[in-house]
Amino acid sequence: MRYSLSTKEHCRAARPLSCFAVLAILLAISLALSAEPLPGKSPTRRLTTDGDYKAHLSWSPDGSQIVFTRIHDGKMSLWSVRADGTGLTRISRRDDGPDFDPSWFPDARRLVYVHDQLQGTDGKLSIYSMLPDGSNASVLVPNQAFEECPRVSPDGTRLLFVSTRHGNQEIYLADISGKEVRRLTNDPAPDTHPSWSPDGQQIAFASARSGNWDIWVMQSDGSQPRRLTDHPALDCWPVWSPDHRFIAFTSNRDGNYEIYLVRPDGTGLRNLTQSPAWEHFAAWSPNGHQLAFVSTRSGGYDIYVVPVE
Amino acid sequence: MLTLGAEWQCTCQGWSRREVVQIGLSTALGLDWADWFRCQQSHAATTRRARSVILLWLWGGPSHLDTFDPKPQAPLEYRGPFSTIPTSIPGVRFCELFPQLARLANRCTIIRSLHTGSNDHGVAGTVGLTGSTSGAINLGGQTADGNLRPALGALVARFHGTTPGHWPPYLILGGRLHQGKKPVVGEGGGTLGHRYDPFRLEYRPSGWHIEALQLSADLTPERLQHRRQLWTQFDQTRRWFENASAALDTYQRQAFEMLLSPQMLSLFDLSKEPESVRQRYGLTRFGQSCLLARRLVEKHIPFVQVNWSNHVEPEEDAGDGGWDMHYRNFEILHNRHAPMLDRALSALLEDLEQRGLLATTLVLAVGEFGRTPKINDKIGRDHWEHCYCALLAGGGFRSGLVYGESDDRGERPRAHPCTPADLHATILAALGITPEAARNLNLPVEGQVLDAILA
Repeated sequence: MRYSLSTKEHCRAARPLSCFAVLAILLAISLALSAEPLPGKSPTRRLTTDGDYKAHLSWSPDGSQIVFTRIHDGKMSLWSVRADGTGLTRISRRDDGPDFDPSWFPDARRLVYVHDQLQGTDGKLSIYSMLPDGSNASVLVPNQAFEECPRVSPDGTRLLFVSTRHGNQEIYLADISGKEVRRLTNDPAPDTHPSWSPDGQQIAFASARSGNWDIWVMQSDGSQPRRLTDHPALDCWPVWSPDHRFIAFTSNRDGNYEIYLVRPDGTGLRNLTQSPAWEHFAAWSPNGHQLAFVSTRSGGYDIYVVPVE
Repeated sequence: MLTLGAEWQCTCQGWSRREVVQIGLSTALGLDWADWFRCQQSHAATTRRARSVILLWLWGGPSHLDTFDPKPQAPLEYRGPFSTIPTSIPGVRFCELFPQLARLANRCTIIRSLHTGSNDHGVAGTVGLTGSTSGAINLGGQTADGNLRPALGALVARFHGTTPGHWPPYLILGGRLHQGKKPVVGEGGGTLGHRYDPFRLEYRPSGWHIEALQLSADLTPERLQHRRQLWTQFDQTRRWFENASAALDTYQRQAFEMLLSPQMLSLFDLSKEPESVRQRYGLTRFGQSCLLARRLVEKHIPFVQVNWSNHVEPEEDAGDGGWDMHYRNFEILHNRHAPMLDRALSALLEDLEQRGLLATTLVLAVGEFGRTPKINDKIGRDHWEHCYCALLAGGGFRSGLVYGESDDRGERPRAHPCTPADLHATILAALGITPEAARNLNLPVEGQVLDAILA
């Protein structure tokens, strides 16, 4: 995450801040040297403090903000918060049902998300897009069955989503207008939570085809599925780091939900969060140096950020 | 009636004369509350094992296969994508989403052979709460034959209604139940009358909303956050009460005093709990309601019901949402409902145990039915009345026990089938309320006591 000052602001601020800047740099170096990614000692930053239920984080391509699902005052909708934890703002305001699971177009001009039109005790899930301020909402993938988990490809031309249109939860690929839909997975077990590799050539996803939820990787045309994790516990919500080095995912293999890292070849597995709390919904910063996630370590559901070395 | 509703016009300006007259002469509340105090009776309970009941009402119907009766050997389209984990009862496994409750299973009885008579939320809900279909209203609005019977909580209040601080004997933490826009009946006094209706509170992040104290519309939650303002209003109310007390008899005075007492308001104030305890339960509506339930049974209140949600649908607004997961069952379970329930219920059991209250408090977590063992084409599970499960702990029940058994796919009970009425009869027995005593009130207990689960 970078902050920039205008030239004028920079000149005005530079002199009085110079001493503090030196001290701050020394302090930062000191902290960096002492920082260890160990339980309770990692320099984890808490972004929100309200405790409302949150899920489905997505970091903006410029690193300035995170959008997410939040339940506040009885309404599930999309919210954003700046990367410094300020500016908690509701961005979707529909009243005919919840909005959830937002993610960014790579050019940051729009968001995709799921809208659930409630009908009696049932609902209709469709995929929408809108401007980041919540305006100009339009349907991308109309409700045919239960359409969810929309993810735009890194080049902005394709859309992954999950649908039950064939009687089971499968991953589909469409063009960015939601047309030309093609089924990528075909297994009796549910497949969900797709995540593009940074080059758009591969897709990580969660599947129960091995008998329980594990992380799998396939080519972007659905071919060559291979199992990345192999554990009887639940592994889900994979997210590929922007530098292609890691896939972060959620697992309860140590008894509670934690954020894990694994290399795309299946090596280097490690528990990043190591907390007794529930940690879920990892989202990479655009430079791949930080991970945001939701944690209940303070009792409620709040967003935290941890550096990744 | 303990829920005052709109009749009790306590506003910033106090009460009007007209409202005083209403309270004194015509409201069910005024008379019935007072009647309740008049009617307090002591019932010797020779076989009483439990003193209080906490009913965690999992409205919407949780999946038994994805909670406490998993079927790891069933085909994928039945067992679902979740794994199972061992519990502290040898050989017994839970769904992997409940690690804390699995750890505490040896304090619990798990019933895996419940079944009920309807797959309609309204009817099954009434059966689950009253033990009978009488007076139940289905989704189509049709009412079943017979008079609506009292809720289990109302029955307990009737027999064990005397509390040391004159607290209400039957409290519900959560809003009135409904399916869609239709209300669900069965939480009230039924044939016992409104005097045994519950006293209802709803948790909101800004504090407890007391339905009985129908506050004025301009009193926003933000304003309520200022305790001083709240106290000022109650002071005003108390002043009004002193002026109006001549019009009230002793019993009515007692009722009002109880509702307005600092002790009662203090009881609802969760900020008096250490932050670590609040966090342990989870800062969710359900978690904090469970914490308040513990505070209430500490005061010997005989029956507290915590409603997971007032509506059945999980995606609908109002926060936590119900358990009616026709679609997105597995997504919602592992993201929200299961971790919330695992955290809150395990905290409640451990907290009660550490305070020495578990032996005298029966905790029951159950919904109105289970969910279809076979997963539907929306990756959800639909209503299933033929077989479901319940978790009980404490209060004179055996621990580390699995009662009953479902078949290989969780479709039907295979051993010891039992009904909500049986569960009610057993709970009443644990509380020392005999079938004879109920019959004397013209309330025959329909179920059979499940002796095997009583300690």
